[in-house]
Amino acid sequence: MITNILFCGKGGNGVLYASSIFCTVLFESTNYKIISSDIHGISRRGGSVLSEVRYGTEPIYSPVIECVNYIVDFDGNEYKQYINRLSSNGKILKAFNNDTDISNEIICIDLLSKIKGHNLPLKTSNMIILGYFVKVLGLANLPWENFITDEYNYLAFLLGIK
Amino acid sequence: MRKFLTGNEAIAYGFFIYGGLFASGYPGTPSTEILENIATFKDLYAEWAPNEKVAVESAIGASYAGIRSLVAMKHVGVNVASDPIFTLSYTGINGGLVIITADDPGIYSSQNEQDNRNYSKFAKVPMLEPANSQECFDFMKLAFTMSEFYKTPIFIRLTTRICHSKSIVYINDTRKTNFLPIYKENRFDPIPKISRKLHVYLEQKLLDISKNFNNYPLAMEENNNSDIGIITSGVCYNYVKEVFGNSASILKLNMIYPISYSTIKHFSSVVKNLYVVEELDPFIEEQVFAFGINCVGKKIIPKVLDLTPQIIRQSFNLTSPYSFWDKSDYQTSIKSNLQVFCKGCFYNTFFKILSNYPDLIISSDIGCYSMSGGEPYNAKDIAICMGGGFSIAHGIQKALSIKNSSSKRVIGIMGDSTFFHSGITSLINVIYNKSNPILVILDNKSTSMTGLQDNPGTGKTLEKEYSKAINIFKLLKALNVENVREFDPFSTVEIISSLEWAISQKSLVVLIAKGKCILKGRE
Ligand code: SF4
Repeated sequence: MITNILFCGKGGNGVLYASSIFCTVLFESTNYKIISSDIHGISRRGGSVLSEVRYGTEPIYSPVIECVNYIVDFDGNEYKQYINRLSSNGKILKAFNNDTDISNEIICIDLLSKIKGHNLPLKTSNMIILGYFVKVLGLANLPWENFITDEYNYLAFLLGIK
Repeated sequence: MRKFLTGNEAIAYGFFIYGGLFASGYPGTPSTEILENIATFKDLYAEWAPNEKVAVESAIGASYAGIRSLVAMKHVGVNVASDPIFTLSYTGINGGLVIITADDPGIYSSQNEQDNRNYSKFAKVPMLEPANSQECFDFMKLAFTMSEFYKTPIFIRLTTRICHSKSIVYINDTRKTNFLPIYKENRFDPIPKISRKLHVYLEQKLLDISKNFNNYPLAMEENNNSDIGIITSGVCYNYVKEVFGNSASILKLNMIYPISYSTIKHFSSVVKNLYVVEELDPFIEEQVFAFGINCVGKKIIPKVLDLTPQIIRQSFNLTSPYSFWDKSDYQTSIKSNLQVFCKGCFYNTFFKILSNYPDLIISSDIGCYSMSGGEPYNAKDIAICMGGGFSIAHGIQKALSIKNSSSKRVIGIMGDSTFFHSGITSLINVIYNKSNPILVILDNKSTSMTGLQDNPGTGKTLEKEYSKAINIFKLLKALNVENVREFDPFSTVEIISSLEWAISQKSLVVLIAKGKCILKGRE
C-alpha cells in the first residue's frame, strides 16, 4: 500500500521543513520506500508552497500524486486548491477552523489557543500540525525526538501528538 | 551507503564521487542547488560565474587542462551559454565535461518552457535524461565515462520534478580523481580548415554512439508481452509506470540523443501499437519517424506544460481507478495567488511610487522585481530575459525618437546580479549609441530570487571566501556615464527626488538604489 500526502501552505508557514522532517524520520527509521517532491519557485514571498510525499512498501514511481489520501494544510486556506486531487475517502488536516461543506473528513487544529496556552513561538505551529498528523497516521512511536532538535519545535510537536 | 536526495543533490554527489574537480554555473530555478551542494564537498572547486556563457567557457578551460568539470544552469541559461557549446561539440573535450540543463515544463518559475532536448540535436551534444535521484547519481558516472571515451561534452537534462523530488539513492563507489595531461592538439583551434574535418569526425562520433547503444545502459526495455509499447524517458517514465504498471511494454531511453535505430526497431517489432510519451516537443517521436517507424505521440499527448499520470490516463482514454470528490465550485472560487515582495523589501515602496508615473514606459528584467507588473504594484510594462531591461529600454527610446515622441521617457530596471550577468553590455550599447533612457540598478547585494546567492558585487564567493566586491558606481564612472546618482531606496523622499531629477535630465541617467535584500544575512 502507498500513502499519498500533500503538505501545503504559504511561503513562511514551514511547510517544507515539516515535510522534510517527516520524510527524514521515515527514511532513517523505517524500510518504507519514499518519494517527496517540492514545488517552491518564487514562493519565499508568500506564494503557495506544496510538498507531495508518498511512502509505502510497494515500488513508487511518480513523484506527482494522482490520488491524495491526506491534505495537510499549514496555512488554513490553501487546501482548497488541491481538493480536486483528494480521494473520496481522503482526509484534510488543517490549521484553524472548518470553512467548507465538503463531505470528506476534516480535522481542524486550533493553533492559536495551543500556542498561546503554552507560550510557544508562532513559527512552531507547523510542528503542532505535524505532531497531530503523525498520530493520525499511527507513526507516533518513531524516534521523532532525534530529528526535531529545536526544543520549542519538539514541545510543539508533542503538543500536536497529545 | 543509502541516502535520501533530491535530483540536484544526487547530481552533486555523483560529481563528487566520480572525480569532479571543477564546477561552475549561474543560479536559476530549478538548478541552483546543484552548485550549492557541490560547494559543500571538500577537495574540489566550485564557483558562481557572472553568467552561463562564462561558466561554460571556464569549464571548457578546466576540461582542456585535464580535469573532470561540470556546468549547471536552468533552461534559458543554455540560450546564453549556447555560443561556446556549439563549437565545443566540434573540438571535443579532454577531462570529462558535463553540462546540466534544468528545464521547467509547467513554467513553475521561468518565463517560458522551452524544451532543451532540442539543443542536443542542434548543437550535436549527446544528452542523457535521468528519471529519478538514483539515476541522477548513476548518470554522472555514465556521463563522465562517455565524455572521456568519445571526447565529447555530455548534456544531462533534468526537469523541475527531477531536480526537486527526493528519493532513495544507493552509493556504493568511493571518490577517485584523475588528472589528464594537457594535449596540444589542433582540434582545440577550430579555424575553418580544421573545423571542416572536425564536423566530419563529429558526425561519425554521433553515429558510433548510436550504434554502440548497448555498450552502455543507454536504453532499458521492459517487455511485458503487451500489444501496447511505449517509448519514454526521464520523469515521464515514472508516470507511464504509474498508469500502466506491467500492462504495457516500455522502452525507457536513458540517452535521448542520439538514439539507436536497432533498439527502436527491435522494440517496435515486439509490440503492435507503438506510442511515445514525452513532455513538451515531439523530440523522440520525430526521431522515431525519421527511422521510418510509425508511432503515436503528440496526436494524443499534450505539447504544453508538464505531464502527470492523470493527463496520460486521459490521453489514452483510460478511466481512473480512483474516485474523486467533485469540487468544480471550489476550483472557481479559489482566489488567484498574489505574488508579493517580502514585507519590508524596498521594492514595495519603489514600485508603488513608480506606478504613479503612468507616462513612463517601464522595461524591467529577471529577478524578484519580475513581480512588479502584477497586482498590487502594476508597474512593469515589459521584461524578456536576463540583462534585457537596459537594451530593450534603449530600443524603445530610439524608436520613440524615430517617431518624434522623444519627450516620452523609458525607464530600464534591473538588479545587481542581472547587471553583472549581462546588463553591463546592454549599458555599453546605450552609452555607445547615445540613447537617453533612465536606467535604475536595484542593488540589494544579493541574487535573491533564486535563494540569496552571492555575486561579484557582494564580496563573497560560492565557497564563502572573501573577494573584492565590484563597485557599481566606480564602474559606471569608468564607462563615462556622467549622470549617476545613488539613492537610499528605503526613503520615499529619496526615491521621488531621484526619479524627478532623472526625468528632468535630457541625457542618459543611471540611478543606483543602495539597498539590501532583507532576507540576505538571515540565511
Ligand atoms: S527576497 Fe529580498 S529582494 Fe526579493 S522580495 Fe524578498 S526582500 Fe525583496
